[in-house]
Amino acid sequence: MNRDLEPNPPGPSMVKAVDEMIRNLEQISADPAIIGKCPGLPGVVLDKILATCVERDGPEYAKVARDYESLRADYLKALVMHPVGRALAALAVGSSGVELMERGRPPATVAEVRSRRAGQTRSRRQSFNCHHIVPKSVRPHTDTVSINHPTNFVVAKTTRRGLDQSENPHHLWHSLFLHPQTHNAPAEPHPVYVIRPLFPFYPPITQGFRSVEELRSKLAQLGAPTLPEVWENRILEFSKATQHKAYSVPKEFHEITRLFGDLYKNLNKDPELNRQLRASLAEKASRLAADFLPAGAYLNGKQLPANHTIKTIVPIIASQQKLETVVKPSATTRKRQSRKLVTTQPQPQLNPQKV
Amino acid sequence: MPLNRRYIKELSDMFVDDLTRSDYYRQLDAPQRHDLDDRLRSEAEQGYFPLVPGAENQDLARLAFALADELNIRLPETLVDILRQIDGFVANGVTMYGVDGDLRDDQFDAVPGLVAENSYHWASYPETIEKYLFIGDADLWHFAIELGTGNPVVLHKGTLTEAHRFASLEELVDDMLHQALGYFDDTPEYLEADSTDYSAGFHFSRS
Repeated sequence: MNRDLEPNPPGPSMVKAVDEMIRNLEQISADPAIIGKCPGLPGVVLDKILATCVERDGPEYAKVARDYESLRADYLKALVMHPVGRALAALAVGSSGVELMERGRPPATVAEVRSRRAGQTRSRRQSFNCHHIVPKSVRPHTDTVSINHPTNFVVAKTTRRGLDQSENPHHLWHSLFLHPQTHNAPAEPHPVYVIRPLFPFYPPITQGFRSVEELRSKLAQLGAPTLPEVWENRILEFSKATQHKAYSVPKEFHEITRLFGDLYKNLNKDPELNRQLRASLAEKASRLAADFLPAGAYLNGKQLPANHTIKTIVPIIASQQKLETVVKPSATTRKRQSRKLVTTQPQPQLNPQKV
Repeated sequence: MPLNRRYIKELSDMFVDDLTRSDYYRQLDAPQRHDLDDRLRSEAEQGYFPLVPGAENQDLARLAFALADELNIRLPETLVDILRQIDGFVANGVTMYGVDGDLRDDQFDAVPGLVAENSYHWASYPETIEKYLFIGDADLWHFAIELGTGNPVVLHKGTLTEAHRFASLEELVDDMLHQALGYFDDTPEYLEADSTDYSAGFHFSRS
């Protein structure tokens, strides 16, 4: 049995919501130069929201988590049905990623298959996860954010290769920005700065584009729709910011892991030194986050003082756009039934389908 | 207790299907493609689940040594039993960690490794050091073993607070497989037999 081959189209409310998400992203800034403002974190802004923490054992949190699971497939299908979403998907996750999304699954691309002489065949897959920009663990005190609305989703690369997390921006957002701000957070409404990518996929490209002609030619090769000018400009700016190479999470953000590896192996048998290491790691993580966040932000429960200065500038916005659409899990998603998967043996595709 | 073999079979079918649709497969030349098809067919005939291998003893021994040496933790026997059946996977936004690629003879890092991922999580979230052995994650959750008690637990990804506790590691991994296969709504097989018996835990992905 398998859910992949479900032909059900996404519900109309989801289609409208994805369109709203694309429009909202376009409206964040008309100036494509915003993309390269922070070369280490290109194509993202910090979105300031006022929020409180959600009671994790309460029904509100459970409902948000349950609704998300029933919405996700519809969201992925609607995203690749939208002409802009489809072109951006083709650039970010390739044609096989688009095919998976059409079936309601997050994109994952097979990177390599290997067999040992005596042993089973293994495949390595590059994976993407659907990330909540404003985490489910906080309750936004504004009507511009809805946790399970497409405006709060981004499909983010989550590939990990050993200790190398350079292809895992998703983890960086959690460990550097979200966790320190929600850990020990105050109970009353307080500012939370969330990473909001300016693309529905992150990173938005897997190769550099030096000219609009090059970009258009790639889209044509993929059989994807052309992009409106505002998106072409954003892609070109992103490519410029990454020096026309595939995006990598900067090495300085891996420093915590290196510090851990250097110290922990020698200290791990001494409880007191271990406690010190733990404290120094927490402090280091907070310092890293503080380089990006303004005065007034909370890190590990402590507010950054009024005289705090930002060291690394990521553009800060405060979303003002009220949501026009509401999404609900489609009836087909909630009631879907098991079906047998027919395909089990590889069949060569002589005419691969374009996206 | 074995994992739900129906889920593993479905995951294997899904991976083989994904492979045949992939740009990687399409770009292989014909002999390479035939060779790969033959190998996968042969593995299926031998009773294996193609592209969802279990860990080999030699790799498990190296993993146990690395976890003790680098993270000062013992590889739980229950996890060894699971890894023998399924050495990690990445599907549908759900990841189960496996034996690290650099511990294997061929150095092939097919899935995120237990040593590397725990080093990273412990470094990023110091409050989890020696408290949890992380075994996987999804969009919303971290899956882990609480080291003090041996209990399999699910943690909220945003806050690292506990969301659910399973009665056994097999149940937790079955639930990960359940989510990886996209079963968010149907009654799982092990509850179908007695729909009122939730004493061994409940299906987390349905919670």
